[in-house]
Amino acid sequence: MASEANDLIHQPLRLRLMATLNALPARQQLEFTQLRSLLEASDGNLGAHLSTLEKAGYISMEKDFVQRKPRTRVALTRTGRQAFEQHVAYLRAILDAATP
Amino acid sequence: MNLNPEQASIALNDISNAQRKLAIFTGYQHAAPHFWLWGVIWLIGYSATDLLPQYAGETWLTLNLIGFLTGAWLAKANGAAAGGPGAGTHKPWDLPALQVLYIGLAFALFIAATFVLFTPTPTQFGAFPALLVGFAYTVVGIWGGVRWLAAGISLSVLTMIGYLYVPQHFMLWMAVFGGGTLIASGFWMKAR
Repeated sequence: MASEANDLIHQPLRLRLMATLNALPARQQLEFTQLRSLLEASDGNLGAHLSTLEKAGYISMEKDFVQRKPRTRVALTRTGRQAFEQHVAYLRAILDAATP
Repeated sequence: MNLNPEQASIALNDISNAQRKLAIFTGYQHAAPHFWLWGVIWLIGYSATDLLPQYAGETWLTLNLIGFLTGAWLAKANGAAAGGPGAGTHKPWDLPALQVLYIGLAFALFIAATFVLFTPTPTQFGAFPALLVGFAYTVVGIWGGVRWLAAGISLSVLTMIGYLYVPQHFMLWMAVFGGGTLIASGFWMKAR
């Protein structure tokens, strides 16, 4: 278990983003527009956070065109899933330690 | 960065909420084609019952069979696309498909048993299954999201309006408003 919070994941929007992707079966992707709707985020804000997580190797993004419209699909990588699970374990440990 | 218990609790709550929203969204996406399927079946079935009431039993038996089998196939396709229990299998029947067949069979048996106990009038024959479906959607809406709730309430209210105020054209009413509500709900379920 990690001894401190993962700063990359703990930012509020990135935390919800990672939680959403982590709830999907392995390798399943969500479209950018679906994520934007689920997280109630703006295009720019979501794009910036996705870029940060991609640089860290936590997510993978695939871009293509469907009926001449650009489509971005996002999935959690194995590294991302492990990092998220470690962060959740860290959060739970804090609560466990605080429970008398 | 170190967190205190309150911050950890808020973060875990955010995680839980994000997962719940995804579950509701996924439920909507999977339900949409089933709403379209049954919307079309109701449109055809109630119209046919209005035009040829003497064949109502055969019409609904055939349409329900088509509906349950197509619904099972849709559930299998959804499961495979989502990487769920049906993913990567080529078995004709798997868990999501069997669940749809089970629900369909349970509904059919309950409705058939009710009609044995209380012999319905033709209008009641058309209204009761629709009310039962509306009630089921309303119950699913407690956990599944507001779109289920809205579909269930709309269906129940429109069925009762037709039953009480348009009894002479009830089957046509249900074809348009019952089938139409299901099809419109399907589009709402599919919307992001």
